[in-house]
Parts: sequence; C-alpha cells; structure tokens
Amino acid sequence: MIFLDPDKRVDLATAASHIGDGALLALGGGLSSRLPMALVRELVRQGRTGLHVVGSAHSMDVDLLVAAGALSICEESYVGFEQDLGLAPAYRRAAESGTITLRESCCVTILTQLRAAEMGLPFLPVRGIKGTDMRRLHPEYAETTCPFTGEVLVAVPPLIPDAALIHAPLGDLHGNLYLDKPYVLDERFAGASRAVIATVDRIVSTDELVEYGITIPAHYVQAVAEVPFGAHPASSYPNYAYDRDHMGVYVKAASKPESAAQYIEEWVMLPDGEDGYRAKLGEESLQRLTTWSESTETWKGLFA
Amino acid sequence: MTMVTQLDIETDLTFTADEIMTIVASRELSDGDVVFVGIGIPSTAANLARLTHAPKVVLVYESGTIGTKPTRPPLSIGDGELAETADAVVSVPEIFAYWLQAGRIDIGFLGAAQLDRWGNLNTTVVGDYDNPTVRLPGAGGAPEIAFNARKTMVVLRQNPRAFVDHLDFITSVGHYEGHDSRSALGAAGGGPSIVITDIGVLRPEALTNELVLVSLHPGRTIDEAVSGTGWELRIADDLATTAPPTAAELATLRELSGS
Repeated sequence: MIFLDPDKRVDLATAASHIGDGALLALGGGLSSRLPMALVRELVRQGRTGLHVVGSAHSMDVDLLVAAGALSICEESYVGFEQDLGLAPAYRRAAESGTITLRESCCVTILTQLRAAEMGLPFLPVRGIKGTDMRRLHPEYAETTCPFTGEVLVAVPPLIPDAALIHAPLGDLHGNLYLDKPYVLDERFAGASRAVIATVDRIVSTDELVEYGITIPAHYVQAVAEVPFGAHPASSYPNYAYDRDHMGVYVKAASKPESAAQYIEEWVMLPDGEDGYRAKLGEESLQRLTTWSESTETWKGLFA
Repeated sequence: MTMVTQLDIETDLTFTADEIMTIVASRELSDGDVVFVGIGIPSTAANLARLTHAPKVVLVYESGTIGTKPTRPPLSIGDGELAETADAVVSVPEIFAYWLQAGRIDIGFLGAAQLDRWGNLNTTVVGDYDNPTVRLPGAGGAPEIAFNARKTMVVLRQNPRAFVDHLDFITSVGHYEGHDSRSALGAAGGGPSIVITDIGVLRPEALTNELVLVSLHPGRTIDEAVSGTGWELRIADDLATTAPPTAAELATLRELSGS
C-alpha cells in the first residue's frame, strides 16, 4: 500500500495497534543491530498472540516474542546470539518442546521472495537451497527450468508480510526514515510488506533528515512513533551501540521459563511502558552506550 | 603426546586447540582473496591472515561490510567497528546478489554443528526437525555461501557428535553425495576444499570427493582422529604433520584476541 498522510506520528501503543493477532511480520535490523525492540515489547504488553515472523538473522526480538507466548510460527533463517552469547534460549526450548511451528528457509531465499513481492512477479528462481533439507520444509517451492540455459532452479513465490516493524535512528513526521548502514533487509521488507510500522529514536525536521539521507521513503510507512532507545538492547548507530551486558542478562533469564517470565514482568510489563523501561535502565547506562564513537578505547570498553 | 613435550622444550611454544585451528585456517588465505567470514574462528583467522602474511585479503561479512579491518575480532556481525573500518558498506541484498550469487567470493568460511564425509553441513537441528534434541540457530546465509563460493573452508572440532555418518539435517551442501553429485546438482562453486579440526586437516580426495585425513597437528595421533570421526575415516597415504604455530603467529593472534 502507499501511505500519503502528511503526518504519521503516533504514540507507540497506537503504532503497535496496527498489528493484529496472527499477523505475518518482518522484523527489521538483525542480530545485535536495530531490532524493533520497543515495538516487540509493546506487542507483548498488549497481549498479542499467534504472531508469525519471517526474515533473516535475529536474536532477542524473536526470542522475547517466543518467551512471552506471542509467537506461533517462525520462519527466520537464523535465531541466536552468535558465538558470543550462544543459542536463543526461549526459541530453543519452544522448538524442542514443539510449542511453536518452524518452517525456516535461508537468507537468500527469503530475500528473493521479498524481491518477487516488490516486483509483482509470481516467482523468482534461487539456486542455493537445492540439495538442502530446507527444500522439503517448503512444499510451496517448485522446480523450474531456465528457458535459455536449461538449468533447473528452485522457483520461490512472493512473500508479502502484513507489516514490517522497523526501528530507525531518525525519521520525520511524514514517515521518511534514515538508517545507518548496514541496512540489512530493511529496504526490501519495506517494499514487500503491506505496511511499515516504524519507531525512531528521534523525529527531526525533513530538512535535517534530508541532510542525513532518506533510506526508506515515507510512502511505505503507515505510522511512526518516537521512542528514544527504541532498539535497546540492540544498537541504533550512529546513536548508540548494543548493550551486550543487558543482552547477557536476558539470555541468562531466558534459560528457564520461570526466570524468563520474571524478566518479562520486570522489564516489559511496566505500567509506564518504554518510559519505565528507560528509567529502570537508568540515564547513566544508556548514555554510556552513546559514547561508542568517542574513541576506539571507549568502544572496546563497552564490550569488555 | 611426547612430541608436544619435545616441541615445547625446543621452542617454548604451547598452543590451545582453538589457536592451532585458527592459525592453520589463516595460512589458507592469500593476498587478494575475497573471503566471506562469519563470527568466531573464521573471523579471527581471516584477521590473523590480514595481520600476518596476507595484508590484502578482503574480508566480507554478511551484514554488508567489504574490506573490513577490525582492531579486534568482532563479537557480532552488527558490530559498529566492522562498518567503521570497511572500504565499503553495502546492503545485504547486494552482498548476496553481487558478491555471492554471481560468484565473486573466492572463499566461503563456515562452521557447523555436524559435518559428514562429503562436507555437507548441519547448523539447524540435532535430532528430528519436528522434535529436535537440540535446536540450533539455523542456516543464515550459509547455504548460498556453500553453493556459490569458489571454494569453502570448514572449521570444526573433531568428535563423533560433530563428525557424523549421517547428518540429522542438510543445511548447506558440500560435496553432496560424493563424486560429481555436487556439480550435477548445479552448484556453482567448488565446495569444501579443506576441513580444519583440533586434531588435523581433512581434504576431499580426487574423484570421490570423500574427506580424508591429510595432516595431523603436532602431537595428535591417527587414533584420535579415527575415534573422533563417526564414519570410517580414511587416512591419506602421504599423511603430513601440520607445521606448528610460529612465535609470530601466536603473538599476533594473542594480541588480536586480547588474550
């Protein structure tokens, strides 16, 4: 859809209210960077259930949705905390006990499906999934023969998420978004999804945003909410680095159902929402994450 | 194990399993190689090569950084320093389309939870997919790396849980079912050219493409390699001993890792 309202600013609760139970969602960012954590926490606060996520490489956003019981189907090609913090605890537990349905694919296949959606094509071909067991998880994929070379390829259908949840460091009232590189799949999510629901650390004037550059133009965006540190504990460069300590706190808590529930009670279900979340983290620890660019030593210190 | 002791006395160099795996991997990389690396030993080894014998190796991370030169191994591919020190930062779609699918990656550098004798990899589940014993993170971009890079390198500790006769799940295709089955499948790149373990080095044999033990690290034995492998491991006729880490390699690696 194309969204042309001149002013798309809403509060976080309203932004999240565009997502219904059972929605097919693409989560922006990836791994430790620019995860739409404020929207994820708000969906948990609003008690959303049956969510279906699809995308590439994710960590705490997906794991927290699983821990909160908000997620039913996961098609992310990677869910984990890399070598550093290891496996995603709630995701792992749910997968091993069968409480969520998995139908994963690989990053390139998903990217190709998003491109087909953007182009309005019925399929596009991929190669890399041939011979893998992901192929059998997806009966909707088909074989196709190249009319020019005779090469047999795997045809994959368009993927149209109901919404892409994207966090950006800066945006304007129209919904134009500036992203710091790397963009991961966010531009493709924006083009393929029915709507982008955005949070930004800061809303600035269009003139100021243009100075930075517009990565995702406003016509993709249905709603934009200003939420400082809205990606926390993921990074939102250039504003702040990721909070490795807090990711560690989460991973430890999520390792058992009881402590996972306690984490959610303590860090998500706060009566004053994101204001309460930032207050609980404290000004000092949040400001520390913004010092990453002062020097290499400062940056390294954040991950010591 | 006597050999290690002697070696220690002669050179006063001891090393961990991770260190020798990293160093042996770094030696496989040359100036000008475009290397697709993931976090962990692949990333450390590629940076070690860059800081020692291959200053012009080009490191590509999945997040979109080309020619990155971090001062220490990143903990996450989202690390700000990867982008800050890169020659260019491109979108993930460009990484996959231009660099990977179109065949511009020389070496794909992969890890795994399980590997079979053909170098096929599993990073998805241990056990049955719908009822797994261990749910692993999943494929990420590995299948396309394995399919399209001109060759791939695999780093994995050698034990019967990892070196299995039959993969629980094929996440990324190596030499598939052996012989020419990989090219028959339509894979563009050449597949695994080396598997580096904590015990030694395996390479695919000509014609069959079955992984065979071609080198033992100093102090390690054939028995250890055989008992660490869940299939009947074959040993190359001209089995070599891996050159031990040099003082310079170890010093650079330890400085890089901050250890």
